[in-house]
Amino acid sequence: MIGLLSSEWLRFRSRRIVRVLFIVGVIGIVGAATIAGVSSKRPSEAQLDQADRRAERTIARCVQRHGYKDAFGPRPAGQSDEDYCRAHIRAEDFVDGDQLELNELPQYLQVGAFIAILFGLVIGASMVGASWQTGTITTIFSWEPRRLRWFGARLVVTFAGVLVVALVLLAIFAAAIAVAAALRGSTGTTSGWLGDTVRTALRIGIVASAASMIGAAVAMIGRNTAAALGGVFIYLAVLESLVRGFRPAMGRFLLGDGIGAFVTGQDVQIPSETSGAGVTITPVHGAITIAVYAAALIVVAALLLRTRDVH
Amino acid sequence: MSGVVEIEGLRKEYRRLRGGRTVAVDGLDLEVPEGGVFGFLGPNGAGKTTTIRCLLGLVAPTAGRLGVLGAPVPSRLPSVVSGIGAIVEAPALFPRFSGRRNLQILARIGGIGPQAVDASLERVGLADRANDMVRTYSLGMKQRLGIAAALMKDPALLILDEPANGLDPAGIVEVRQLLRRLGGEGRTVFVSSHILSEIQQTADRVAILARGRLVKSGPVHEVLAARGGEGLIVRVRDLEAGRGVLTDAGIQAVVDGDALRVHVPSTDGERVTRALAERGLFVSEVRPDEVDLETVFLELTADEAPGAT
Repeated sequence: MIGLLSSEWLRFRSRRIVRVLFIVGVIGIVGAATIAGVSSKRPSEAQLDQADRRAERTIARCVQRHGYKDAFGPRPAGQSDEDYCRAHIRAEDFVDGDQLELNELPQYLQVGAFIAILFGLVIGASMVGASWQTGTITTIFSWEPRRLRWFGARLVVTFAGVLVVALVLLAIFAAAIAVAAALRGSTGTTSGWLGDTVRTALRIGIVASAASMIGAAVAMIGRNTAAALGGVFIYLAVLESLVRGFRPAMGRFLLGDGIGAFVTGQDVQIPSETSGAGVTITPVHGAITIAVYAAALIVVAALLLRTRDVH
Repeated sequence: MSGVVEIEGLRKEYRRLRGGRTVAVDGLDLEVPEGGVFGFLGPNGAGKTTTIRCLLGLVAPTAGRLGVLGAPVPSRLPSVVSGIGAIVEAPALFPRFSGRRNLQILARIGGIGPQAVDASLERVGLADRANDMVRTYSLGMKQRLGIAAALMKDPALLILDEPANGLDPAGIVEVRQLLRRLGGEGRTVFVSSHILSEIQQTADRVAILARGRLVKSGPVHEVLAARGGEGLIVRVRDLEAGRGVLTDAGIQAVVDGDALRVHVPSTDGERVTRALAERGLFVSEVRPDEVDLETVFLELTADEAPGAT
């Protein structure tokens, strides 16, 4: 198994599409950070004074109401109302204008999640689809006839590879935004910002890796990269949209809603079809939905691979 | 059975999209002994590649039993696959990787060290192009790279499907010499080809397949002898007169094109020429009526139409 993993890893890191997408990603990140920096407007002294005053008023209200009953999240033991409120209410939040704020990095990362998922999907689909299209699967099976073992190794390497590349790209994105914020915006952060950022990045990395599993499995079923990508897009864009439109309550079983809840780390509310209570998709529910979709597709792909004639 | 390759009653059917079935291999029995070069012949669609795919576990047989290096296929194939080097049809390689990277990827699957990669590239004469992308290679170079990949395992059994495809004459000679050398080293080389002259010069034994069935197999000389072609080709000015003279002398002869085909042992040339000369018919050419593999192949497969791949 070590040999197979080593071989698959060598193939993964040698693939042109991985390198090209990585470079495109870096260029896109640099471009996005540059645009964000250029369009960021630092507030004037008068705006800052006004923001300070508004923040102080809000903090006073917060203290008066005992931290709004810990509305900003769990309070460390022994923390006073004032410390709690000051930890979460910042003058930067009251500045008018379009200032780039490092504190909003988790939200910026979430915007980039779509691209990370797309990256995972394309890499996963091409990792498997290309082997069928070039016929190299015949060569591989004449070296390793245990097909499921090989498929398992390829999935493990694809998952790990996409996770590593996605996290590296997210780290580069974070660094670029930090530089842009330092030059043209605000670098002030609230407590817990670093943890939020890391957790968001990890969630996005995992979703990108899960997307690569879905892409790989569909490409194994269809034996073609383009068919896999087309199939997944049609499913997500057309089928799930129709279901969402006609049967909103089914949203809890949909991949797109599951991804949304998991990536944001927040509950997604689906309104009810009638006047009753709607459905809530929690991040955990979203994670389970993603895992079930990926696992089901992998099982179908593996069953087909085991019995399929290879030409 | 005790052969390196053992096939019993192999049958492979494919379902057609519009219903019905195509029989690619129909009850094939074959045994390939250890060592030497074994030619696996047949017209297009005879079922050669399907048989090879079945042997490598790529295609599941509809019926029959297969064994390679003493292991049943496909159940125990993984235990012997390290001793099998194979190319099926055109070598399928990663086109955007270099030749060396292709071999490195495969070598890692087999736990083979990097020295074997370089040695294989050297052996097939690709060392100086090893770092170029495979998609820039000619078909012949791809074939040689495929052979290099197969040789990396130092295999006891080499299965090559049309290895001379796309090679120039010099490449064909190289492959011929390589196959002979590998066969001479005690390895078993199982090679399918439609270049029959190559097989005749290279193989020790052959099997001829037609429409999924075995029509002839055995050592090359036996297959040629079974056709019963021994005799002489004699050229005289008046063929009909010559035939009459020989018939009168108790020698069976027929007119075949612009010569006489005389049914005597090839060592009886003196008797034939004397009989003709005594009647004033002087021979302009006499040579043994040698049967080549191509003739035998065409005769054996003449009635067969293509049906499979």
